[in-house]
Order: sequence, then C-alpha cells, then structure tokens
Amino acid sequence: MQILFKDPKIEMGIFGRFIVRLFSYVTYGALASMAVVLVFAELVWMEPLGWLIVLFLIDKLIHINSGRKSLVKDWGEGRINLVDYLSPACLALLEKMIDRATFLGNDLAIAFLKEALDSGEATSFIKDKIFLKKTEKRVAEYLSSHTKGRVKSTEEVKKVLEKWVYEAALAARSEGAVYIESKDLFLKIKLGVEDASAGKFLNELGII
Amino acid sequence: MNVALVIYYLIRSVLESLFLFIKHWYFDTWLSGLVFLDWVDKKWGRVAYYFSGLIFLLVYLIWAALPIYLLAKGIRDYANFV
Repeated sequence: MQILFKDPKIEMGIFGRFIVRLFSYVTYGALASMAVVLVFAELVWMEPLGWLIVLFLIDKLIHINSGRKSLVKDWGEGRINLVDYLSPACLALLEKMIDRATFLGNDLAIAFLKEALDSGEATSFIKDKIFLKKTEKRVAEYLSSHTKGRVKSTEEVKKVLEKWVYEAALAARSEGAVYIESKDLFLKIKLGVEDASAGKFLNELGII
Repeated sequence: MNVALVIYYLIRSVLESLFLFIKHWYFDTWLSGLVFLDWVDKKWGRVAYYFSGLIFLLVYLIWAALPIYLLAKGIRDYANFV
C-alpha cells in the first residue's frame, strides 16, 4: 500500500487557494441566479435550461458532504491518496490550517483547533459548551501571545499532515465512518503538534 | 502563486462536477434501484421482485431521459427562436 497526501489545492499556496475559493463561490452564486432567471424567463427556450441547472444544483446540494472516495468501499491496496477520503468540511479545514502554518507560522495542531472553533466544526468533537467556550478563549489568547511562529514550507506541513491524516483515517475506518471527519483528526491531534509550547498548551487544556 | 496549477484545478473541478452529476444521476440511481429490488426479492419474493422491477425500469427510463429532454428542448426551442 502506497500512502499519498496529494492535491493541487494543497500545492498551490495561499493565494491560489483564495482564487479557487472565490471562483467557486462566484460560480455557484451565478448558477443559482441563472437558474432562477431562466426558469421564470418569458422566452420559451430558457426554461428547460434553467430546470437543467436546477437539477445540477440539487445534485450538488445532496452530495455537499460527500468526499471523493469512501473509506468503506474504496479503501484498499495500491495507491491511496488520503485527500480523497476527507469530507469536504474537513478538507476546507485542512486548507485553512495549511494557510495558518505556511503564512503565519502557527503550529498545525493549534491551527486545526482555531479553524475548527471558528468554522463550528469543533462542536462535533467538543460537546461540552462550557469547555468549548473556554477552549476558544484560551486558543485566542495563545495565538495572540505566540505571533512570531516559524513559517513552515508546504512540504514540511504535508509531511506532518500525511501521518496525522493517515492515523485519523485508520481511526475513522475502525468506527465504520465513510469519510475522514474533523473529529477523527481531533482524536489524533497529538500528531499535529510540532512546537513544544503548543504541546504544553494542549496538555494544560486537557486535550492531549 | 502557481497560475498553471490554479487554472488546471479550476478546469478539473468543472469537469469533475459534470462527471459527478452524470454519475449520480445515471449510475448511482441504477445501483440504488438494484439494491432496492434485491430487498424486495428477499422480503416479498419473486413475483413482487418482477413487478417492482418493471415499475423501476419505467421510472428509471423517465428519470434518465429528463436531463437529455431538457437539454434537447432548450436547444430546439433556441434554434426555433433564432
């Protein structure tokens, strides 16, 4: 079995990812507007094309939480690209983590926590609301006091993420999950710790 | 910023989205139907299986034709309009 952690979105850098995100939002917004305009248009030829776009968007909505490949059906021998098994929410989280690590120099584990808290993903693995609020506050305080972190290269980050996501994948598979979610990454958060201070902070918080 | 990589990714995303739409609409629906028919067979036997199979086939033909019909109608109406 050959494990890979490869995706053009991970290789392209923070500005490339920004452009891709912007393009996606604009495209889907334009498609949704176009569908409404075409369906209610007076010209006869526009309506069927509008409905076709509606079908496409409904399909996209139904599969909004689907990853590219299933841990249950598609995981096997040969080449495994871990990125294919991430849920879209988890992949988005990873991209923002990589931005933090390569642009701001944040520790990957702290970046994961910060982005998970900001996006609401953290509620899937921190159920206690009081602890959630406390973690949010402590992470914000930690980041404001550790602003000069060592900026990492994409390659360095990929090496750490490969091991972390692989262990998360095995944990997800053992529970019968279809995709790797952020809660699976949280289970193995220790693998994302690079700085000693980050490790100490997470230990004090009771997370590792 | 690697411009070529961004352009490659955007083109790939568009093609992937279209491919996934076709896959979900035609193949996944067919497979789900077969799973359903298998369940009917186990639950109610062969007669129910054949009867359900016929209904599923008819529904699937309409389902499969829908996007093609919409596209063809749009193009035909546009040609008439022009």
